[in-house]
Amino acid sequence: MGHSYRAVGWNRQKRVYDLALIAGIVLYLATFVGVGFTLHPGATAETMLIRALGTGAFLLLHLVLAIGPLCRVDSRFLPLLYNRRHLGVATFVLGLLHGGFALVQFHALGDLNPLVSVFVSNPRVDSVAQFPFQPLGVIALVILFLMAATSHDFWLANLTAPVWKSLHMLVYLAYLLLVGHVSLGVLQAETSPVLAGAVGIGMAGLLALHLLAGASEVAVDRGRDAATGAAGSAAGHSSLGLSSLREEDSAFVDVCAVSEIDEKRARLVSVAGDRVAVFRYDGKFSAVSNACQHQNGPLGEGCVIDGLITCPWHGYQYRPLDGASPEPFTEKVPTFRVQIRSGRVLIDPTPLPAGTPVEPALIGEGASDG
Amino acid sequence: MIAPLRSRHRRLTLLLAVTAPVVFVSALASRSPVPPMEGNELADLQNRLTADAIPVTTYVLPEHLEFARSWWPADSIRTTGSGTGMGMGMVEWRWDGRFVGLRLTLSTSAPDLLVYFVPPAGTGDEPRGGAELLADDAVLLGSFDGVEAQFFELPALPVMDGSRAVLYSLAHGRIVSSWSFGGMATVESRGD
Ligand code: HEM
Ligand code: FES
Repeated sequence: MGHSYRAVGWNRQKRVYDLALIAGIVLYLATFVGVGFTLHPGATAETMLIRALGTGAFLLLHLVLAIGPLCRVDSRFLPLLYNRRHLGVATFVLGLLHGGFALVQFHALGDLNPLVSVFVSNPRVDSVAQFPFQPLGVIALVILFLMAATSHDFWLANLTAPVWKSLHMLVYLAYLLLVGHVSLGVLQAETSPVLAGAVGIGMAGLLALHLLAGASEVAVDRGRDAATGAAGSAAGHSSLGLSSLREEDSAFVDVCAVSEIDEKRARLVSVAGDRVAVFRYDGKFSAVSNACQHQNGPLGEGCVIDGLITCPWHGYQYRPLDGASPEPFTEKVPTFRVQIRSGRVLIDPTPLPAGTPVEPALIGEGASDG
Repeated sequence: MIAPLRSRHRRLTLLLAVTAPVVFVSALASRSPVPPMEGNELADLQNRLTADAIPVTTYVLPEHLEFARSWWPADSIRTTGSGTGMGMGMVEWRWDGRFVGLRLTLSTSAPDLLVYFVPPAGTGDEPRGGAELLADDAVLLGSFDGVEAQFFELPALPVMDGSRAVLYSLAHGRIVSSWSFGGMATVESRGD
């Protein structure tokens, strides 16, 4: 990862997001309680708080889940992604307060332990209308806790990215449980269509976004689409000792025309189920694996900044020539051999070990080949 | 490398796209119907209640209640009833043949109180798992939103012996107060 990212503006940016997030949450809770008491002057403060916190947490979860596909659909949402972890932690905190208040309110006065009571006090699992919806909330809260607790990169490194990613995919289960928590719980009683409508619209929107983003990913995999975009800032690049890899050309597969890759940007190509990002910079072409070593962010959707491939998600950087992060960082991604022939870009689909230097292909070369 | 992760992710989102709407729609579809309110009658009743006729809140012992006086000055409603509340104050029930009314004499600690009409044949409302649970054929009359007293229109007359009105706490998942229409003293229809 480039240290310039850490030092310059990174923390300030995060702080601004955090402040906006906290202000937004406070504003939401205050508005909810204010409007709530106006409409239902007889309601108790505890009820109002439980509802404000519950709906707040559920809303934030929608935001958390929407950010990924939104970034796929439009890169202007990328700044939200930088802050997604904090949104997730905030979701957990609101959910914890909501659940905590609910446990105290509804389960603390009996002779059972509230955490036992929440699971045994309503045995109507056979009924839809009276389904015990609270345990669903508890399980979702446990998942949110696991995610919040392991959200730091320390855990990412310790658990390894695949395990960590799988753990964090539990968020979909949490969402499903919460849809049940709300529609089997409060929606059974709520006669006004506002909450049901909001849940329905939220769900439809989220699912549509995910399916849309998924469809465009499938299109990329089929090679019908590719990532292109505006050029990043111009800069030089570090020089390396390169191994010259020029053997039989038959293994190479066609990616696209030279002109189809914008300067400082990449074109994605799918080989054997995995994706390769072919970058063009300063008249040269280099190819690396598309998956960032940090959280598997899509390197091919990033651009070349200061001569370094920069991940669009959190700014980890890699040299195009060998896929290695500059000192003092140690991340490396696999590289691929590239050729230019007759104005077309070709790559050898066999990945070279992460960090293997590869001589970049030059626009001029191979022009006479065909 | 990340192809397995991506395909797992794809399978999960597809699964979610199917299951979440199913849960949502079937939960909504299984809601107990709320009987339609006719005209402004209910609102009128509520207005009369809040305007001038709420009696001073009375403390009543939870064990058993006997109400002999009318809830409001009009001559229409004369009935008695009893109910017990659980950790939430006292519930007073009234009805006039068409509407069932209730009020809480102590503030409730239970949110999301729903009022149901339980027909006499109601099964499944025996205590189960230690808590009194709602009969499957109970008809939701509306939600009790914490104002001091509220009225709900009953589904269909006549209300037979053995029918009950119950106050159900959604959050607790059980009935907190129940009141039987049966064995009533004189019941006079309002305004007849
Ligand atoms: C220990 C875990 C939890 C418990 C015991 C619990 C309990 C409850 C209860 C009793 C209600 C009904 C409250 C009412 O009707 O006023 C409720 C509603 C709700 N809960 Fe939870 N919950 C838990 C976790 C969560 C989590 C983690 C979320 C979201 C991230 C959540 C979101 C909601 C929402 C959106 C509602 C409907 C809001 C409303 O009441 O109007 N809950 N929950
Ligand atoms: S920097 Fe986080 S995924 Fe690439």
